[in-house]
Amino acid sequence: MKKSLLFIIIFLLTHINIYAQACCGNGLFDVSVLSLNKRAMFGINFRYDNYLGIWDDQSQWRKLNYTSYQLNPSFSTAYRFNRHFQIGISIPYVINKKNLPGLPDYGSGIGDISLNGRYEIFHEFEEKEIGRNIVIDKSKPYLAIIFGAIFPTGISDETANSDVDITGRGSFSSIIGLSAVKTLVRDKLQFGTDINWQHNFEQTYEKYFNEPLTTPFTRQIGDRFNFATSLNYILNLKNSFAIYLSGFLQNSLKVEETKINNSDEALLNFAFAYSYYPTTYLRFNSILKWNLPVSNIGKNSSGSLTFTLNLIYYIETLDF
Amino acid sequence: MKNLLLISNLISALLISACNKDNPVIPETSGSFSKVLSFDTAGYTFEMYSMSGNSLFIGYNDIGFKIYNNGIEKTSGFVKFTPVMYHFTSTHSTPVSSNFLYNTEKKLFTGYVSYIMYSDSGSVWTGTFNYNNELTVSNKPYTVYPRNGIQMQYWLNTQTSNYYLLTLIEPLEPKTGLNEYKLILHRTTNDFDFYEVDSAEFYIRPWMPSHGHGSSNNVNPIFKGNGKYEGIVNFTMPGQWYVYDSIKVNNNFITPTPSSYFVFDVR
Repeated sequence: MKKSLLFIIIFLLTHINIYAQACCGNGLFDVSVLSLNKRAMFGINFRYDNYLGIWDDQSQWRKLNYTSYQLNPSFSTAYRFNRHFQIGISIPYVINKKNLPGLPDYGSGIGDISLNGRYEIFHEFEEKEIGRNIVIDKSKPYLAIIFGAIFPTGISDETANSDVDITGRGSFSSIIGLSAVKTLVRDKLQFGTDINWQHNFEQTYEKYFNEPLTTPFTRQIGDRFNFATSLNYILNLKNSFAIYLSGFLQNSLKVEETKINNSDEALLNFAFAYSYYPTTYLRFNSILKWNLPVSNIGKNSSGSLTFTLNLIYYIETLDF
Repeated sequence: MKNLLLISNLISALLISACNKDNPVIPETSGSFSKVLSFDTAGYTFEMYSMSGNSLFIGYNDIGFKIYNNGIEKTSGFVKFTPVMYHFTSTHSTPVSSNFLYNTEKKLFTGYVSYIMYSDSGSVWTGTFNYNNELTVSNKPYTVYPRNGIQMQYWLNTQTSNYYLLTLIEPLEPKTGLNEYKLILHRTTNDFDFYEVDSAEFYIRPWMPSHGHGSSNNVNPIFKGNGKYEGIVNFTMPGQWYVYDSIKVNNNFITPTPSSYFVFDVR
């Protein structure tokens, strides 16, 4: 009974990936995957997104002439059930600031909660039997199937009173993908990649910006292909650095089941991350993500400078 | 034949005036108005001014006139101005104030012209000027230039058999955030007599098609007199936006379904 209760709580409160919930989102960063010696994690995260401009529908960069940023504290947790299966959840709180004259400049609320899991097919350096001997398998990479869902728990443009009140996308999303890591130099250098396909479901609007509509309409954001690659350099037992290249390609959106021309989205991000492990069960992680403010590397998306801080506490185990 | 001769004379006059380098036009102003046209006849001097600069442009133009009789400025009465465009095979007019009345603050007889076309090699604008029914000067040619940001919608409403013309006055250079949204609405049955449509109800819906979202904090335009309507439109981010206009007159929608829209390139 206790085990079942724990399972339910952990299922509802665990986390792996954080996905952007705004209309013109960012990439993904996996900061909280549980390694084999970790049973669970609890994370307090803080993200600051300073929006610098947008790429328009011709992929031309347009600098913003006003200040707009989002603060995004979140709580995340993850639980490993066995050698292959772990699941997590992230509960974000969204604070929007925007200084356009005559318009509300502040709004906040719970964002879209994301639930993610992964089924790990291989782990690196697993033991394998060759005849009577047990040897370390150096050939296999880490490989996992990742899956997840984003729940429309935030405030969307259907019920928000103004732009800054929007804290969520308003529609349900499902995610399936792969995650792989290959050590290039043992205990020093790793190459990682995550790819996933995000399907966004249709939303029916009965209201728009909290005003009743005479004729409801439907909108479906296009399906999105997310990708992220990283090169992780482990300096020593306590310090590691990583560089990331990430982004997404998104299909055209549909309104009333009609595909809108030229509404596909694309974005390319660069990031640098630093992790500090004061002990084996604590991790500080900081990420600086940026977009190059030039034309033709994004489309219908926002460019920002993002700073993320994560404080993660692990419960360790030797069971796996 | 008579029309062809007139058109030929008008084109010649335009070409000659355009090529006359000896008499460069020196812009003169009256407050925020700049002089665009001037001529003398029978002891009267007519001066035409525009708030759009020292030229007339397609779309809405705030216009003023100064009238002098033997050097004495007129400050009462009215000016009537009738613009007509000559094509090779047809003619038409454009929306214009029925009377230009003297504005003591601006020191001009003020009103507007909303040009539906600009001049080109096959299309010539002429004006007939009348001061207080004392003097009429017919078919003076002048040039109307193209301008960025000008937008009009023209449609037939089969229920009323009227053609409606909706002209955007502002914003011509839309910016991110709140923008004044000013329009003028006319109806016509013959392309010569345009009547201001008063007391219509406007419902606007800004939409960013490539992102699939609209905006909040918009104010539907309300009637301000002389066919003009003013509201507020909110463009929450840079890029291409549509603003759909649905218009009711006497409780009936006169706009087509689906509604037509203006397109804005927001910076």
